[in-house]
Amino acid sequence: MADIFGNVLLASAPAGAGVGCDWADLALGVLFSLVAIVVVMTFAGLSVVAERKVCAYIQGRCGPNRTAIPWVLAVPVVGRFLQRAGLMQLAADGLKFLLKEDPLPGHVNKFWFMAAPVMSLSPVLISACVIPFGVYWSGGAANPLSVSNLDIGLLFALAMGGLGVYGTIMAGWSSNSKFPYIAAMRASAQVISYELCLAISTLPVVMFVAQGSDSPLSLFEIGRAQSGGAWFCIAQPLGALLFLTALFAETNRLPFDVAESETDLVSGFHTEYGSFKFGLFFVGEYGHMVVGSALFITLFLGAWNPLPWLAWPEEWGWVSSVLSLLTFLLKIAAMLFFFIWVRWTLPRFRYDQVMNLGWRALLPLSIANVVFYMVWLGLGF
Amino acid sequence: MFEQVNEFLAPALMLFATGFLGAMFKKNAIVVFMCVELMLVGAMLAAVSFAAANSDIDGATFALFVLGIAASEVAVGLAVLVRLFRLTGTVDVDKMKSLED
Amino acid sequence: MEAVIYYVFFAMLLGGALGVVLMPGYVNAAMSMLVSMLGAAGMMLMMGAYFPAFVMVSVYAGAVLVLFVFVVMLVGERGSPAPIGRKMGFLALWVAMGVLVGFYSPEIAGWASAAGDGALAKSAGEGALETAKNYGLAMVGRFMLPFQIAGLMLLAAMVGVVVIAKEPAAKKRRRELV
Repeated sequence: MADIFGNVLLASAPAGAGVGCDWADLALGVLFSLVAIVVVMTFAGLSVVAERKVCAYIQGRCGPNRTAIPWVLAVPVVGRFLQRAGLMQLAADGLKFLLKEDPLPGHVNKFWFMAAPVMSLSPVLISACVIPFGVYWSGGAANPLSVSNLDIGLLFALAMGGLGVYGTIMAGWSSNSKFPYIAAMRASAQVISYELCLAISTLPVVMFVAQGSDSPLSLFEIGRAQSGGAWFCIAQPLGALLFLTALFAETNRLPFDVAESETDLVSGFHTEYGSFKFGLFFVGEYGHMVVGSALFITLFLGAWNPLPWLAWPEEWGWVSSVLSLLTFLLKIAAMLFFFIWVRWTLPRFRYDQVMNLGWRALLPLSIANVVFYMVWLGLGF
Repeated sequence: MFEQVNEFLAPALMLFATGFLGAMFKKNAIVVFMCVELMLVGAMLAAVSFAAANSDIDGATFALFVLGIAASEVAVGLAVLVRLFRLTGTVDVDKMKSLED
Repeated sequence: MEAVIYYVFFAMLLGGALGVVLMPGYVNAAMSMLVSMLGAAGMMLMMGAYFPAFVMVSVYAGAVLVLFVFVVMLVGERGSPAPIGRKMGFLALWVAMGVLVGFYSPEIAGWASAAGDGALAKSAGEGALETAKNYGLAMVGRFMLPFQIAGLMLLAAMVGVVVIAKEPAAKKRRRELV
């Protein structure tokens, strides 16, 4: 039986080591997963601060620039810079979530109330395992900088995205209260409606990658197909736009914000939640944004490559690997800025507009997209 | 330990048995439905394990078709159930005794 | 090491199934079915069939169960009575039969494979079940007719569901016209 994790380290194990994995491989896998989780959570945390600063500048004000830890402020140049950039506000927010009293209301269904944030955060972190953050070369072959290089990585990422809806439903239902319940039902209906469009708009990408590779569903192969070639956002602009729109809907970000519409549903499905559990939901939402943008970058924006028709050369060795990792992280930061920019610029859609858009506009468009590229490839372009 | 197909047939059989018992003895129509789905999953597991034993893809492809058909069956069945609930106000299978309900 | 993973998935599978049958609340039953589906996907992973495993997570756990949960919440939560001892006796009997027949009967293993020894094909990385490409080739090759029929059936189911679920509004309008 082939190695379950598909990791290159497993494949290079000596022949007598037995099929499957043993404890050393498991420990290494756990270590790499922790690194991936740290990356995702760091970005999620930084995007909390970034959101407040960017929305402040869009609205013509300064955002958090007063929070300071005294001994950090005393450091000559860096301390003052950190204060003005609001980065110590991140520490303040994090400590607040940890140290505040964590209310457990009497009218909630206790087990599901406590399980819902976990169910919301877990799929996000699991799907961070297949994202290729960069590329490194060993023995002449290119390998991804990811926890695991699954042959069906794209399907795995989409399946895990589909599991994220349970956290929302359970949060709303277990709160035993009208507003969270309505919000949870709206949010989950929206998520499952746009899941279809999300999946179908990735099909032309898979078709293109299958021209040159044997495992087109692997995210590493998709990234590799864009190394030195046109990125898929140039080759398939409609597909990229559809995926991006569906991604906004999947992560419940404005303009598809009906689940947490702060003006009419109090706080949506996390109304009844307090400090730490709310923090988990909060970080889960930003984590979902990070992983979703990482997926978008891998599929359409050229993964770790700096520019279209340009790839990091193999001769530079480990320098190239570090540069590819930095490029990927920079692209994630740019995508997060785009998310925040759109949120504070566009007004919210009404719920029936959201459903209309999903089923009557995006789905036919994505199917037409697939048919167009099927004909395009069939005619031999 | 995992060279034998038995290790995967036994869980499939036990899953099927559990679903069968649940479908026979539960009162709520939705839970009966869920037990039917459990039986289908057991059958799928058995099909995939036979396919793995013979290194033949036909069993696994069959499991994929069963998956698709099960999904559509769930959708139609639940729609019928919701209509029935709106008409009679209950989903108790013991109370739905006459065909004219 | 693999034994630990196998037993974890086994526990998820059977624990979830027993949860569906034995648990008092409906939403709890739906969630334990979710655990069972994930365990079944894990079993398929251990057999090397990666594509069916993730399609199962995506379709069953990601769509069918969401539908179940929606309907359960719509229909309402009423406590169902605890099961009687006799029924549990039958259940235990079935499960025990499954264990005996499944684990301790080498003849079934013998019937299973053409080679007559019931061994799982162990070619690392080259197995027929492992790449998604083989499924694609099978679908448009040998299984083209079932594939098209499944598509038609899904279309029929979709139309049927819309018709069944939408009827009351149309009836009301007709009554108003008369």
